[in-house]
Amino acid sequence: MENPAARLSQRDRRCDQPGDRLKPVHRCLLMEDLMLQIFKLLDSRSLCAMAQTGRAFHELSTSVLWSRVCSIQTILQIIPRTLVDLLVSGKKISHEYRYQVNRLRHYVASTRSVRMVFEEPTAEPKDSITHNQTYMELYTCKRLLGALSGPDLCESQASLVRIPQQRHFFAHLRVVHLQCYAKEHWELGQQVLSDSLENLEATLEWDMSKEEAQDALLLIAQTCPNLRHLDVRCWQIQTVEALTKLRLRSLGMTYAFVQESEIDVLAGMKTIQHMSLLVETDDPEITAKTAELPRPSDQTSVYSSLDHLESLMIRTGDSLYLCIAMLRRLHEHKLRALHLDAECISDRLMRTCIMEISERCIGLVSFYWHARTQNSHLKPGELRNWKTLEALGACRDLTSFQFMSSSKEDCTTWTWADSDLAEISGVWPNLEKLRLIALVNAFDYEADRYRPQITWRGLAILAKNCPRLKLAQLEFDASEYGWPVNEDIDPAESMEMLCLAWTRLDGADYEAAARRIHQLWPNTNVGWGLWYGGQVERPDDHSEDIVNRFPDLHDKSYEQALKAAFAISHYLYYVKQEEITARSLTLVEPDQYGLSPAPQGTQNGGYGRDNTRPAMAQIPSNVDGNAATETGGGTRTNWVQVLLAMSRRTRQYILELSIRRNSTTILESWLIRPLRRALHL
Amino acid sequence: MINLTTSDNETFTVDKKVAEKSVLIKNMLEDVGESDQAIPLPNVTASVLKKVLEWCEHHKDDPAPPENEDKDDTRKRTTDISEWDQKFIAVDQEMLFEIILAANYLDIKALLDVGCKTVANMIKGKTPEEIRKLFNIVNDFTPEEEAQIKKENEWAEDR
Repeated sequence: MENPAARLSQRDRRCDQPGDRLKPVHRCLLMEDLMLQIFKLLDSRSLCAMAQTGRAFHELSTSVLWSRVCSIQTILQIIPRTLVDLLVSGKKISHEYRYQVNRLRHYVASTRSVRMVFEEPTAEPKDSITHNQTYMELYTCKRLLGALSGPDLCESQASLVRIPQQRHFFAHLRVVHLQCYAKEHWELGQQVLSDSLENLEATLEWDMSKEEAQDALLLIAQTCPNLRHLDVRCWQIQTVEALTKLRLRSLGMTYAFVQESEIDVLAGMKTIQHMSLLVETDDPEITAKTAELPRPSDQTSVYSSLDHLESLMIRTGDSLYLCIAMLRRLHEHKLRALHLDAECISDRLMRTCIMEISERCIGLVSFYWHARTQNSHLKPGELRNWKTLEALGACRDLTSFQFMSSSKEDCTTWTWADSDLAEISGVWPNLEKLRLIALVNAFDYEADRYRPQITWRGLAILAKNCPRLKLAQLEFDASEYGWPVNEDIDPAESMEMLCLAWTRLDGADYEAAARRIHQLWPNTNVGWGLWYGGQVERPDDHSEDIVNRFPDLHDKSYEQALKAAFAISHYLYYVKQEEITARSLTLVEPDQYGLSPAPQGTQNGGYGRDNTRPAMAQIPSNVDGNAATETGGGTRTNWVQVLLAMSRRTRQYILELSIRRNSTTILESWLIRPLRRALHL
Repeated sequence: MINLTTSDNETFTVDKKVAEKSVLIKNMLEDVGESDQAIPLPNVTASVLKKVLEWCEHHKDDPAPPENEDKDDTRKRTTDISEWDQKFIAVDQEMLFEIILAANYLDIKALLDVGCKTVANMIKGKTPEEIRKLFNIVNDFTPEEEAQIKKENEWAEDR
């Protein structure tokens, strides 16, 4: 125990001091490398507290804390108004502010990643740009950053924190995310760029000239010589020659138009492993020649080859011309991932593209192709299906195959059937992701000619032949009950998400469909959606996304498809619950329902498959926790079961109601929607 | 068997497998080769080494941790400690810090992790004053400075 008198004698000290002055801080706490490890484990709040304890801990704890900052707003907000005025005025800083300024510089120097996202301009006249500012006045902000990065703001001797001089203001910045919609934004954004930067994502979208765009690229290349990842979104770019001195590992670039000579520039950047090009072509003169094939080339020279690429993504409003030209520069089968999104103007272009892939990219692991077509005219009797793509089977290692087709007209020309699934699963038994979407833009998917030709048999084949499948997105005709014989059903455990798109179903069949899906893939869930462009490979259920991507989409078809997936997914939930309840008839695990501890001897619990309707009388009248413990574990288990069964009944009832919702519009808005929200349906 | 001599001249004889949990000792054995001579550990006292060896003994069959250097920033900020380790590390503060220093010196990463996590857990959720009391830190800020620092960093509090 400490001496009370000693504590009293310290009362008048400036701040509260620990009572036992004789005991110094343990030397372990003063070892920077050890403390750094500890601080990295702390949450931001605790770091903030640690920073206030004493000078010995301030610098290290704040450098960990500020390394987690990612918004420039945070930095700007902590500068007091008086100091802002002083800094902007350009006067020498008086002594009282020196510690503060040095601390600010220390904080900023500790940041690792910064986001500067300016507001997109509204449709108002151009001069309103000054009113459209996310941050404090751009001018002030620019002066402020300039002043803080100035070398001799104040002497650094005896300062609280050590600031290495002659370093950039943002000395350790690694990641910058910029979104600029005006020249002024970019002028401010430039200031955070430094030679420590490794990762830059910049959107430069305003009405600039081609020269201006080139200057911006040049500035990036000069200020950030150590960049490894660069993603620029700027529609005026025509060449990336300015970047050739950088040793980039990944490059994302938007182009106005790519000339063949530009491919040589890209081929010259040998450090790039991942390349993503987005090419917009509005120029009518250019579109005129898109049906052409690139001239056959024997570009075998190292300089023009693209064999350093591991992944390549090309999205263009133009034809496959660019894709083919780039594929022809691959010789060593090193490409692992290919993403194509282009117009398939002619069959000749498409066939050439497939041939080039099968001859030059045997090492592919992931292949995404969005084949867009202008029209859907086919010769009589002509079909586009796996036969068209068959040559792709040469890529033996493929584990992700995503093929999507759409057309500007009402329907695409691709048809997928059970036989295609049988062949695909035969060629790639190790598939983990499969997507075959043909009718994305169908206006009326109920019409017979858009009827998907994949049935339950096809799904059973898929489950049997591709046991590793995790994600699948298919259009299939669930109303065609071609259920396979038992021998052909081989459940696969690995499936996580089955996405249904335009699957035809009548309301009455949802439950049956859920049971069948469960039989094929016992662990799967069901969703609706389109995976976003193959980049984010997850099913997306947001209706907005879909409507944005396909503005022509017929509302009714969309709603129908969404409803089917939604309903099946919930029936699937009950099927799974049933299974759990059936399994736990003899041994109930109440923890599963979020209750603990598990009572002993729960032999009398459980409502199984055939007993899902508990009588109200069975519910104990006294239901608080005390009653449960008093009457023993058995009652408690019962209670859990009753609750579960009741909630299931309620959910089922609401679900049924919402399925018949055409006749219950009023019910829908007043009762079902709030209830659904409450029950997280 | 390996002999280890502490700073206070006590010698411990341990299984080679146990001693090699320490990368320092492992490297020494590789460099010097097997010999009867005791390995001197001038930075560790007997009482601490005893504790450290207790940990090594219990964890001797653990698989080697995956090598991912320079991944600090992406490492999850988890402070979960296994039950046995929690009981093991329930010692007074002096001993805790000594174990951390020893683990650092002997290069036993997993033990160092347990120590750091324990200290982090001690700091978590405390006010500056509570932390000062905990570690005998002297507050050498002026009250104005302390207020400013609080203000500059309190954005972190509502995270």
